[in-house]
Amino acid sequence: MSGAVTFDEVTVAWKKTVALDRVSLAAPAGAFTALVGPNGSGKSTLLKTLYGVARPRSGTVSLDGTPLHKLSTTERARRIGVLAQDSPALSGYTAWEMIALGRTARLGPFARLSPRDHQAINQAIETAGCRPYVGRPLGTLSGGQRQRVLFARALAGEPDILLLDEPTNHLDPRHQLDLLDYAARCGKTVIAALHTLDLAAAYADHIHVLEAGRLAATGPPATTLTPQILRQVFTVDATVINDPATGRTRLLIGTHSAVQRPGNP
Amino acid sequence: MTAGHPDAGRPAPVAPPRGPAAPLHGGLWRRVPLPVLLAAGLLVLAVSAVLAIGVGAVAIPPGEVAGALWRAATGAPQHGPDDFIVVQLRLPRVIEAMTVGAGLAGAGTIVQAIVRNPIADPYVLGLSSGASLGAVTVITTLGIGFAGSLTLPLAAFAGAAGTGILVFLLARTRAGLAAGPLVMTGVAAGSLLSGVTSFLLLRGSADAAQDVMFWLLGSLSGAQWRLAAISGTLTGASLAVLLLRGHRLNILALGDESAAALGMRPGLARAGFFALAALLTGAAVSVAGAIGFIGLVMPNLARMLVGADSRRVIPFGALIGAVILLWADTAARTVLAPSEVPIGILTAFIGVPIFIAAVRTQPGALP
Repeated sequence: MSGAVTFDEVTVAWKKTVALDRVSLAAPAGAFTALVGPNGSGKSTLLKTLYGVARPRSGTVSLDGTPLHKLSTTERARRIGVLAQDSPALSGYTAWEMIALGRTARLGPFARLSPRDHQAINQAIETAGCRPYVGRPLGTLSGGQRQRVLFARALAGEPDILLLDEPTNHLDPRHQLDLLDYAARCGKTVIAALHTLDLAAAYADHIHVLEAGRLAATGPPATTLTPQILRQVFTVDATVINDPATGRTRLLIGTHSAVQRPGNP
Repeated sequence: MTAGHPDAGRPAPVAPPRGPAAPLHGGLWRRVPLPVLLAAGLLVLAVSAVLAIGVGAVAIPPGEVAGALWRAATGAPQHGPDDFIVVQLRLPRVIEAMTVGAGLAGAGTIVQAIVRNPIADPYVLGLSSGASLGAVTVITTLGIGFAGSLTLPLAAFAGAAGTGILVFLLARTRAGLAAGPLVMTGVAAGSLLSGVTSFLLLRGSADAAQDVMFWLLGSLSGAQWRLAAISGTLTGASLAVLLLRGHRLNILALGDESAAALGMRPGLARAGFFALAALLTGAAVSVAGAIGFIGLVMPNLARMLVGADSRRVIPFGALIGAVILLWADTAARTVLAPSEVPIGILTAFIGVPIFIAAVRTQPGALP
């Protein structure tokens, strides 16, 4: 299986602001790896170094042992599909046209879509559940529908690595669960930055906890999303429960310091 | 993610799926195949050209015009003075009008994509101010005939190209050209160059000021075969390159993060497209002066009619730009004949009603 990602002592800085400070971590091939951490802890930057927007000042990012900077931009885009946080310009594209752009790195010089490309696009549309509004311009869609279009665009390129930056943004609960369920079962290497810690606990195989550009904890949910670590990194109180139905860790956040109301001891 | 969705059971359309039969929110002719659109556009352009050539001090019926063009194309002997009027006097001007209209529309499509703003046009990047300064410098110092009939076009082209290089050097960063610095530098450079132009105008003679004013508002009265051939070739070649790169323009319009994610180097690509926009703008303003409106409106009009895909907007926008500028120029040389009206005034008179009508009927197609 291919798609293993490793960070070896990677530092990323914008001028004098250090976004990632000598971070070493691994995202195993075919597994769902979640990045959690407070705002500004370096989750998005870590993803951006993988799709070429941020460049490490030092250290090496590798894909199956090959340093990322040795791959061409096209080769990189073929292997890595991205659902980024930036909302694309309301350019007048229809949802279908936007999803089809996900095939870019696999097209020839004239960018004509083959039947094989159409097949991949259709598959992505079905997986992301965009079929009902695929002919509409993006500007007429809701935030959640647009998010699913961008998810479909990331899938359309048939990458073996999926980078998801806050993928559940704007999504209703049904579609949040569907998206994470797909990410956990699709067999691709998935690296997702998540704010919903409980969903990270419920779906991810591995968790990397980032704090101010450094790795604070790494491992399976049961050892990384502990009350002590959550208190230290997020300054929140949390109760950890073991879901008897799935055997997985679940979290109740903020339970100790929640406002006590009269009659609700 | 289809589980539980109320629309999950809807049948999927067969490839190529432009979407199910949902209501169309934008792009009146979005579903019309590009070859059909282009064939129709070329037909309208050809008919417009024949009709426009027939209009003038000596009216020539369309049949005669077509005959004269046919004889010129096949090398058959010419039939009297009408052939001379058609081929030597009016045809170069019509070709220049079509070239300038198509070129400005193409340049506008590029600029709107690379700065991600639908109200940008080639002039936002300072290119026309540079061309104006080049032309005005020559008019007020050396004189219009300094280097023969190509003096003014050459000066204007040099001004546009020089400004393009200057803006590029000032706006570039380590990763190439970013949209924000590009548009800010372009606007600033344009203001500075306009200031210099005004200064030269104030210092120059009244005659020179008259020449300059006419040039600034745009005119094709200096049309000649040599110029038509040069600008036509330059514009045609640039548009062909642009058309082949249309897919990349689509991606650049999404923003730099998306472009990088899809396998492009946005800073580098933007620099290449900027060079192409400078070439197209330089070729257009050097023959016709600073004609406004076409570069701003034609790409938007094209998007409203054929959808947002640059591979459709580029050729279709160029065609409607060519048709509208052709009719604007025909009006420019006839409404107050024998004097000429600056064409920039007429592009607005002809284009604005069409544009407003499109905005009112196709609001969903606007970005």
